[in-house]
Amino acid sequence: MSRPLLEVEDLKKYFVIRSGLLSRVSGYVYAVDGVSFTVKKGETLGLVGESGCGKSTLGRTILRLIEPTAGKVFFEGSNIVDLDRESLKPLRRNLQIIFQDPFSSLNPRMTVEEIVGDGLTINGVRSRTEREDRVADILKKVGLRKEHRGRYPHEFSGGQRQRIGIARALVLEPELLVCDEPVSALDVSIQAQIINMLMDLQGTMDLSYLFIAHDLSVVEHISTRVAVMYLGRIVELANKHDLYRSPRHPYTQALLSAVPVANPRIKPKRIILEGDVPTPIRPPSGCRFHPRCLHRMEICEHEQPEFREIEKNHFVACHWAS
Amino acid sequence: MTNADQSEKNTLLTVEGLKTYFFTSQGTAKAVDGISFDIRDGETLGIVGESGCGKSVTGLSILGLITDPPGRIIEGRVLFQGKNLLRYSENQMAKIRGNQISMIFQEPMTSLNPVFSIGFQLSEMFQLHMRLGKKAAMERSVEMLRLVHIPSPEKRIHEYPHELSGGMRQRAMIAMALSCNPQLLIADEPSTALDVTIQAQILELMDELKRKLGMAMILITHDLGIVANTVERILVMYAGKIVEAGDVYSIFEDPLHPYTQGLLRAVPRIDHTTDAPTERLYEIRGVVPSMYRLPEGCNFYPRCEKREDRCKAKAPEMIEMSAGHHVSCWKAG
Repeated sequence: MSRPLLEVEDLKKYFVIRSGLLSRVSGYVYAVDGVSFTVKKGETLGLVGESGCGKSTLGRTILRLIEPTAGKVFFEGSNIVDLDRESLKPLRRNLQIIFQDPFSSLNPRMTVEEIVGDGLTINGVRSRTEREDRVADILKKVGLRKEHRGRYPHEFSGGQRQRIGIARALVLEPELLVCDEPVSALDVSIQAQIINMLMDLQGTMDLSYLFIAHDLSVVEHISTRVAVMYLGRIVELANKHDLYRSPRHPYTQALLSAVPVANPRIKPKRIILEGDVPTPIRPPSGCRFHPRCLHRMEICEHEQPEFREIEKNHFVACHWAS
Repeated sequence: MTNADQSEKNTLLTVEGLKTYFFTSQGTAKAVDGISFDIRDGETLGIVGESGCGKSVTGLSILGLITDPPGRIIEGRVLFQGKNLLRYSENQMAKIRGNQISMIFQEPMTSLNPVFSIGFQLSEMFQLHMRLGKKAAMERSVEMLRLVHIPSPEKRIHEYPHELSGGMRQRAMIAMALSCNPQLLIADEPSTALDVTIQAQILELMDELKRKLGMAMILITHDLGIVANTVERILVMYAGKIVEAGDVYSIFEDPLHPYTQGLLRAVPRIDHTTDAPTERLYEIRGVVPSMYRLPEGCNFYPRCEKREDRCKAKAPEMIEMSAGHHVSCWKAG
């Protein structure tokens, strides 16, 4: 069995909170609190969760756009957490990211040609003709035209800007693309175009995706395997069909039951969770989910459940489900 | 909900030929370009469409919340209890807003005043519209927070919006909107900014309150999943016009307009029952036209798979295809 493309081991990211006159450390935001998973070549790992679960922080920490607090990230065999800037640079071309907000993720003062071509320049493609050819090529692949090269971001719609962001990420022909909520800000009909395009490109460019989103229907469509995050931890991980058909963690069950179904004949049996998501500054003891859990037992209040394989390739961190 | 039941209820609000345009340096944006519909007592109507279709502007126009300049309602009537609201003075509208017709918005953080406590903002409603004294108004406020299931309401009334979570703020806004028991609630994307599990809570709450208080509701959203289980009738809007109108079952099961059909097919579904390999999502090619430069003839012509020459020449009229099911398309029927 070949090595997975990406292996994340017990990754942590804590943000320091400083307060008071002397800016003393008064606490931490436990944004990512011990996350482990792999992404195999050619697959799409979906990562779902609600606000504050840490999924976006996780995506950025893997790329070291945010520096990890602890843990390891093996990409193509090397632990990139330990690498210095110089050694990290060549790996960066293989590990790219696209962002949620098509408005703030593009430099408004750069043309499309510059935005997409910059990465090529940085990675040593000196020939201007080669750059232009490659930019034209990738623009075509993402459904944009040559005439768009000289224009500025504000001249494009949200969906088109997202295409520009995708072109920027893919022009270097990376191995792994982290997609951080790439379609959340788009209308349904544009969303469909972008998702189809990402799936097509995965085939033609041999890409692997870490697809981070809160929309469960979108994640279900595009992913091979799916991980569910809650308050900085992964609570369940399984093949797409297994997760959506037989979710084992109470949070996953509630999450799936809450998804609105576009069919008036089906009255969904929603599991309504009490209360709000607690803050990652003062997470609950034991299992993070216990205060809202319908199935909580005594052990859940003081002991964190292990992330265990309960069925083939189906992992859950839950005392009740195990 | 059969049509027979519908006809027994009184009509609460009628919108006739509404046109709201925005006059800007870039030109004239025809945000709402001639729409007509009505809503009955206690009915829940969904207005569905993507960004820029005019659904929010419709809600704001009804309540006279269009800022002039640059916006202006240039044509149409909004009949409420026999009177045309568009002819009301600002003072007259102020008596209607929050009292007989209320509105809640997408971002509770920007629609609640950050420098006043929740209790203050709520009791304002009671003092203004019901002329209650401060103490009585506060008591009613606590009751309203309890009605929307905010725990420990007696403590919460002293809190400020930023101290509440998104879901709580939305509940507080709902409490404010419903405090004077309005006959109509306009909810503009009330749960879009919320997490899925919180959204489920809010939709459940709105359902419960609808039943308890018997108000009519216009639910404005882009989310087809939400309307499927919340509304009785749906208006589908595209580029400032209503393209299709019908009861929720007809729209989902027998969509007549190519845009409605496309929209329904473009929505990814959670498919529980099959192991079939994932198909491509249906795409509606192209993008929504700019409000400043609407196409000639039918607005949907550039993106329509079923288009013909006559579609480009003249904009189709709204026709009733079956009881209660209207569509604006030359190709339907």
